[in-house]
Amino acid sequence: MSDQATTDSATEARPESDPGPGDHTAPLAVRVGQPAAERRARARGGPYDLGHSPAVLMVSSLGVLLVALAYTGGRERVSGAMVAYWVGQVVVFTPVVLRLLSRRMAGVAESLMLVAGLAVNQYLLKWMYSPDQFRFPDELQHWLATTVIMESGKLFQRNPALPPAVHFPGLAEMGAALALMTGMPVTYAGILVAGVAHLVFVGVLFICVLRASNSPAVAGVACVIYATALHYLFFSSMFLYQTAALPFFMLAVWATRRWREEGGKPFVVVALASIVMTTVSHHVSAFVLIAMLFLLAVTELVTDRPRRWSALAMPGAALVVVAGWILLVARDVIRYLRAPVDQVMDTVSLLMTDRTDASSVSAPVSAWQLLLQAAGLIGLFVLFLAVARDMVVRQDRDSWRWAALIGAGVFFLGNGVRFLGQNGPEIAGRLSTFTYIPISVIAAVALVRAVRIMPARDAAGRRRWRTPAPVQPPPTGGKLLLRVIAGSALVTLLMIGARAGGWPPLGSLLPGPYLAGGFERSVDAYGVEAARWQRAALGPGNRVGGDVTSVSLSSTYGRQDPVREVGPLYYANQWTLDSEDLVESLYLDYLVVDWRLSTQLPQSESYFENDPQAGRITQPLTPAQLGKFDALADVDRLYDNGTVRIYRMGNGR
Amino acid sequence: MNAVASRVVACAVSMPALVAVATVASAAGVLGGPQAAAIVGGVLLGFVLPGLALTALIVRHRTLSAVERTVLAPAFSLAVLVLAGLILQVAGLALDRTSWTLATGGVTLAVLGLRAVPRAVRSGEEDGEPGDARPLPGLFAARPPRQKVRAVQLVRQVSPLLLVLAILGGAGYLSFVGSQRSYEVTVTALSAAPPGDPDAAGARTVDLAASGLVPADGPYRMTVTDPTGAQVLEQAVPFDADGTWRVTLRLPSAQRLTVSLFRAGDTAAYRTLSIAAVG
Repeated sequence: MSDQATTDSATEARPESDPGPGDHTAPLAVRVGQPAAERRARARGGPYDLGHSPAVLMVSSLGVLLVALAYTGGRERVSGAMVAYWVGQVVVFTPVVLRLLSRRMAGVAESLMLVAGLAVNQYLLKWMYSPDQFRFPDELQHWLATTVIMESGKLFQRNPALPPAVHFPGLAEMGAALALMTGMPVTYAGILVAGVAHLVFVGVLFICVLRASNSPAVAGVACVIYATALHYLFFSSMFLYQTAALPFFMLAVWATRRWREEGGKPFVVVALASIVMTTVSHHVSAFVLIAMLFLLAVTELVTDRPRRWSALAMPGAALVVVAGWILLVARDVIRYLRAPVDQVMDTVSLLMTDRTDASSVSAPVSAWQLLLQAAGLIGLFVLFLAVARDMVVRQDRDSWRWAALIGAGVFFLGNGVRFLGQNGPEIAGRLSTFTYIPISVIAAVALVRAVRIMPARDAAGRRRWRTPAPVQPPPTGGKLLLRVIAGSALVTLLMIGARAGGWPPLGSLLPGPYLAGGFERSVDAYGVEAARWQRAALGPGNRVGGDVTSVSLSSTYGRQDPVREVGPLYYANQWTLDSEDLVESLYLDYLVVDWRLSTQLPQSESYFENDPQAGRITQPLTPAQLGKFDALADVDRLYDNGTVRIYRMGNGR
Repeated sequence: MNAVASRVVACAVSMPALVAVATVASAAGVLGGPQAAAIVGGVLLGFVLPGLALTALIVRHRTLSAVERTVLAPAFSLAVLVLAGLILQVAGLALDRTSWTLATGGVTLAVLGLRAVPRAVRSGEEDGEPGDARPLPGLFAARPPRQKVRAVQLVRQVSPLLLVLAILGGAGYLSFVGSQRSYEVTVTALSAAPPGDPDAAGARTVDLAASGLVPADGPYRMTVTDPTGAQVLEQAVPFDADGTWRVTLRLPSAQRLTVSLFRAGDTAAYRTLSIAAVG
């Protein structure tokens, strides 16, 4: 470490103005930003004291082992596997939360160790679901993008599986570079890249909150609360372009913070490079980054005196970089993103007019699942209100805390999107990847700083809602224990709600045999072999339709051009002129028929992308519906593996 | 003499020198070493070395905690991979093992070289900027006396992590083996390449193939029948050691034909194809 560098321990010398660990007279607004209220603000064993984190992580790793056993049980259909899964999830997560909330931490090193260890353990939970191959459609799409770069030696090559990803090559470049340099298969290089990117994201989130709060406990608790985001364990750690963008998204925020605090070119360079990296990695992350930087700038302009208009420089730069990339390189992304936005708008419109159609129907959610998620949300909302009230009555002037509070408010608004149609839950989940950051910070401040939910009574027995409450010493003994248990219970509840309502869906939490419409659970040797045959026998670029999984596999392993609007062809009881017209209009060359669709209802409420029957399917497709293609005189059946059949339609000739 | 020797040793084992040596060794391992060396070298060049060098250069005059340095190194390394790829693309160079290795290694060495330039000759020095003078609060305050890590404490704290690694390794192994085992299934497929156009005699060539054939289910046979069920052709299906069989047939194009694969003792077809009539 250079002589300019400071240590990251709580053993550092404090400025005179800083309240010491035993100083409980500082106002809460100060305590929110300073480590004064933590019981052990000075590390016991020096800056690298890991405290009890190794022991806690050992317990947590036993949870990983339990989940591994549960996964094995799921694959072999052993009863009790689901119980082991949930126990394992809690064992992985809760000991870390308890320790972080315990007020007995050694310092930054222990907090970081706990957070990083939890991130590694949870990434392993994701990896162990499918450790030897990518199965989720989006991961397969990025596997293809990476493979194409390796094969062609060029960027921006056509990727029919996910056309917009062509112009956001960040993740594929990382994967291709590592695979080429190490000689590892793309799958393993991808798993490694996603893991490192995920870990870096958690690390940057940690240092960002640490900078803003000056508290290792708040930083640690914010990170573990963020780990309860709906998509944290999967979409934010899968081999997807968002995973590559997230670390740089946070890094841009961190560098901006440091630039606003201290000035200097280095942080401007880091911030600009991070903006560029986010932009070339993922479109939505880039858009949200602009919004986030504007929010930070506006709150600074409102709260800080004298006003420094330079605050607008960084969001302005982000706007220019992102707009430049979209307008000059990635123009197709506008059309791509319009579809889900239009769908949400249509659903809103239908709701306003009290009408419904297939796309406006949300997937049904069980009552206990709703109850669980609602309880977690209410808990977060109470903490949000407590911090908001505290900041208002104390006339808090910290722009970053206000930005976090506003961002947390957006999180609650964004949760409403989950009820808007077929794609609502997915859009809400993806939105929460970003909006969950501020609510995590706010909730962490509330839990660690023991912000009072109800104001204390004064001498006259009245609660003082509008005036700052007298500063109370931090809780100790029984009160502390109660708070730690209550806080840990709330965060654990959030985690369980996220696992139940996140990804994979509840019905396929464990890996196992084929499930229709089950995404990862639908990928098995029958589908993969059929897709590989397509590439070898048909050559690339044919227009191939099928159910969700067939299309995913055909467009990746098979290198075919996916046709996703073929649902009506399957649902028709008889082949009609309309069917012929649809084949013509879609320029359909080949059709993949998986006969297991006639034995199972779809896990995801739909067999096809753009499924006209989504959410309304009450019985599997019939053998007659799937078998009608055999009766068509001018259609060839060119492939049959007993489960998957491939037909050459008229246009394939 | 001893003092000089100490200074030489200190210089030789300084961080930039170590990073430079590791960079050259990693690049050599990637470009000319065995697979294990390529993996180690590639991981270091991909995730560690460029970031270490860049962190040391970009923020060398800024107050940065150890946590921040730890996090910045892999982040900057990932950024180098992406930005180097974009620059190589714009320069019209192929993105392959050599170019990416040279790019990441070159960036690392170039940055180390820049860092070695004395402060006095560098432009844009920031030591005098007001921001530097501002004291940082709390955890980030400068701490002149450097604390030493006690070896005993470190060993005591790190040793449980070996057990953690063992547990996680065991869990990973269990899942990996379980996943592979559950995926392994013999898929027996009968397929035909898209038939070509008919020749002057009204026949066409059809390339048939079967895969995943299992000796225990054999001997297999294949039949070709017309729409009335009349058998046009029947033949045995001798397959290779890897369970595959291929044949090219000349079949009439005027009729829709059904190609069927039977296992030993089957009365109903095990796998079936249909070839539509042409013309």
